[in-house]
Amino acid sequence: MYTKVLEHEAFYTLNKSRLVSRLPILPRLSEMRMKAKQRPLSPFMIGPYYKPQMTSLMSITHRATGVFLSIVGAPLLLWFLIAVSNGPESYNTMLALLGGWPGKFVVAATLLCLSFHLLNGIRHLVWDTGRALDIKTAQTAGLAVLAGTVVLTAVLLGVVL
Amino acid sequence: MSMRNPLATARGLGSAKEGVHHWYAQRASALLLIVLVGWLIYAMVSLANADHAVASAFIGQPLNAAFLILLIVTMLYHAMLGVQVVIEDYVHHPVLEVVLYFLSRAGALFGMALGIIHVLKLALGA
Repeated sequence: MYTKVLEHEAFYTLNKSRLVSRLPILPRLSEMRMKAKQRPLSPFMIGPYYKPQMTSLMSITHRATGVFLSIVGAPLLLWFLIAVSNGPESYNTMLALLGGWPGKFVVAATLLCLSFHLLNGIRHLVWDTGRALDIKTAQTAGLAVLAGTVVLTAVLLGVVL
Repeated sequence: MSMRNPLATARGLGSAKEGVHHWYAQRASALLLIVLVGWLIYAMVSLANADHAVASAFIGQPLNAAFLILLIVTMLYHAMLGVQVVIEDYVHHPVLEVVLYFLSRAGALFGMALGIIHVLKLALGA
């Protein structure tokens, strides 16, 4: 499909700008088509092509925890707020639901995701300034994030549960 | 007026020239969220084992209400941008991609509206 578009585009450019003298570009299209087919694609980091690495696993975990926080964490915060706003009865219902084992599990998972995403997000922000990008520093910072996640999650669980 | 070949736009060729804004907004909201999640942790410490009267009084305080509104808006904005990238990268079914994109945006906007209304209700004592 990509090569089709290229071919079409070349014709269009030629006709529009009347650059008929550039016609020799046309025989090269088949060559371009070949190259487009053989062009190596960068394989997805998770899968059979790369050995699992701490950096790549933490990268995909950053996305996974972000999605979890978007789908579960944010609604949890809104639910808490709405329960407070709706009065003592709905507030106590919410506390009872969150106090049961399924509720505690969801709260614990959310706090774990929040801790990881917060700390690893800071690691990403440092990278965005162009610093700490070499493999060794990236891995050391990764280990620090993992250790910090355990500590922060434990502290938050101690506060909330 | 755009100087771009309209045929190229119709075919969706080339970048939309909005990548930098998306990239910047994702990071700016992340930076803001570091501060706001700091407040959230303070709020969690303050509201641990709190009864309803304490919780509603805490959220009703103007400074806390402001922080909570800013947290909800920034958090959902950041989530919306992040989920968008995940959808773009992993959902390859065109219809599903557009539907999920719409739902993620609509959900974030709805959450913002709902959150702001309830904070205001507590803050203004309506």
